Amino acid sequence: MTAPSKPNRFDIRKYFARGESLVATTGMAFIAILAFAVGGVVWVSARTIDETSIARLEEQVRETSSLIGSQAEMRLNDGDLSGVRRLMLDSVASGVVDEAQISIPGIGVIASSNMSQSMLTELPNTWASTPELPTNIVYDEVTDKTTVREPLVVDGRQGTVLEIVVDGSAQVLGSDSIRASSVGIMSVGLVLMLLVYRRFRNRLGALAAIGEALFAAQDGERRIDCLLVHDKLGTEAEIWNTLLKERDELEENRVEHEIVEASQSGVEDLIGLPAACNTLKQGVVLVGADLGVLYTNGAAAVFLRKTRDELAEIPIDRLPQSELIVQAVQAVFEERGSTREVFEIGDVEKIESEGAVLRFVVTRVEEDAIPRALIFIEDVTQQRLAEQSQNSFIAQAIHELRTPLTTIRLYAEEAVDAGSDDEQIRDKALNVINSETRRLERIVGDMLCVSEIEAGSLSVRLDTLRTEPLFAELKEDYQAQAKDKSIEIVFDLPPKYPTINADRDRLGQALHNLVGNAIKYTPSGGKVEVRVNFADNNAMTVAIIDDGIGIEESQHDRIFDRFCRADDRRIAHVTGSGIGLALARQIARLHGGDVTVESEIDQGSTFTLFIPGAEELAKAA
Amino acid sequence: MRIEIHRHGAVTVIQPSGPVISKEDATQLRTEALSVLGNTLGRFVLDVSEMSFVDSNGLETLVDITDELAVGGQSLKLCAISDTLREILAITDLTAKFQQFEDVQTAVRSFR
Repeated sequence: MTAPSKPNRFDIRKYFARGESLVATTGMAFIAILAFAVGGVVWVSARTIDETSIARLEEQVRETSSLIGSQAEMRLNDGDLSGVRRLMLDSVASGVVDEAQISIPGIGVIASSNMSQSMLTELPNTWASTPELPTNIVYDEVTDKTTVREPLVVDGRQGTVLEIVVDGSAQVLGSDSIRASSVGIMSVGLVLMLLVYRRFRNRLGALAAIGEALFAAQDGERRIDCLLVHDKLGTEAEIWNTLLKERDELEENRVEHEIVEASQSGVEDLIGLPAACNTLKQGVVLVGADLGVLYTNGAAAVFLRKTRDELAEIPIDRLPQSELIVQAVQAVFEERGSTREVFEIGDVEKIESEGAVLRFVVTRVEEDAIPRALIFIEDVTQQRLAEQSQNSFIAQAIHELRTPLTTIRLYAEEAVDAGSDDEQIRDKALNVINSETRRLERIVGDMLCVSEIEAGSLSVRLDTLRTEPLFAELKEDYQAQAKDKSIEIVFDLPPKYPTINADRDRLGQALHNLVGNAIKYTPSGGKVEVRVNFADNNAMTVAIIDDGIGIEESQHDRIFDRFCRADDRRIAHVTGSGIGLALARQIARLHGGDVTVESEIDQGSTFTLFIPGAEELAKAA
Repeated sequence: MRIEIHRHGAVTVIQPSGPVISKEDATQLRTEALSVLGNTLGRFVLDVSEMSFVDSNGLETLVDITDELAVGGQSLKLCAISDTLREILAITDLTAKFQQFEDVQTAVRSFR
């Protein structure tokens, strides 16, 4: 498996688009760096040449001025002004210097190569002697001219200056030509490089694109469309694309080969109708006239407890409990009576040993006039159990209804017989009738709730509820009933009743079921305690504690199922619909609470109903 | 890890308690579930209300069980799924592989 790339890892590839652009960018960068390097070298070289040329020029000028200066001093000391002026003219004429002039600053020019300039006719007798100054050389970079000021000593006096100007452009011209030629060569070089680059960039682009495709493959990319590179990038790109296509073809061939192999081995369910049949949770078996299995789906194999390969190899008369199946198949083949046979295998009473109740539907189908039998198998265990529970519920409900009705009828007759002669008997009869009527009302209410639970529409209407009257009514209803059965019933009620957020009718229904159950399953002489507590947040806990027959731990969950009663011989004679606890728990849960049980055989049971406080309920909502 | 088995009518409820965070836990759950699957023809639900967390071994086990059920055209029914487990299934893109129910009763009723 390829390790995933770290998301924060620096990845230069993201700065480039795929393909040629990487080569173009890299190539351009390389050329720019090369041009910068060559330009820098040329510039430094030219600069060095310039400085050397100027130094050499200054040296030459210094020697020339010294030579001219000594000649001029000699002639001035002799008072030969004409000789000095000729010297100036000869110096310029010989091309050694461009301009030459001797002057006494502040007095005038003694001799100059420029004949138009006015000059002194003779040396003055006196002039201010200045301190001896060093020879001054100045190079003007703009005009490439070097000016030298050479102090002369005439008749032992300072103050005369020889000034010559030499044009150095000829000497420094060499560096400029180097610069110019270098720029020319570089330009030509760059053009040549661009031409070479244009010639080879496609091939480099192919390599770069292939490189990126390899990186993508390393990162887990497998789609060929993402890994292909442009064919126009050259031979390498074409070879790469061919390799990828060959890889794809090999993969396709492999899958095709597997499909062919699978279909040849009888597991032809990768595509089409067989695959659809295989997703059914109902078993499907196609049987030929020889009773051999032509096709079976996975569910059928599970129901018949064989593998599909095993089913493909054996006739159906060798299946477990095959008699009914074979009879039904033969019946549809022979078209005796109906062409559709329905039967069930398994007994709902023997689930533990038999595992399931399977419903078989066998129908005749024909393909090209060849008859075949299609067996459709369905697991109906849970349906049959539910039907059994519902039948039991109806029987129990009828019994539950009959009991109070009988009591009402008897007491009504007694009240009628007593008439107005015996008010005591009449009042007692009316009280019993009233009590039984309410009991009847509750039973009918519970039965209505069952249908609501089945439809998923059972709901509660939460409202502010004063609980004191609720428990007063509960106490009144069950004290008489407990007394009749010689059971002690104790209500441990709090001194103060806070209001809670609940549905009065539904909560009353749940409490009646829990207390009624406790009395029902507690033998005579026993005790039932109803303990009510309120927490600081007004959460209500009602514990109904009895010392009755108790419930096995394995039944603790089951007793909350609808229509289910604990599997216990001791309660076989006690009538009950099997919905009371399911209803109580459902109502508690609709309030955001729950009903739980703690019980031990022969020690009694404690059912606890919990209703959360309003704030807690709001948070849960 | 503790695994409790309950019966609700014809439906078996497997209730593992505690996190599935080791290969041993996962193997135990797989063995128990496949055994129940064989006995009940797939008529069982997995109550995960007490299963606080599953690691990759646990997820693999759940997928194995649902794949085994898929042979018979069924899928694993999970009930009372915690937010953590729901998130784990969503992140690993496995939500669609399972049927999910609010509570055991609803899951059991789905077999009717």
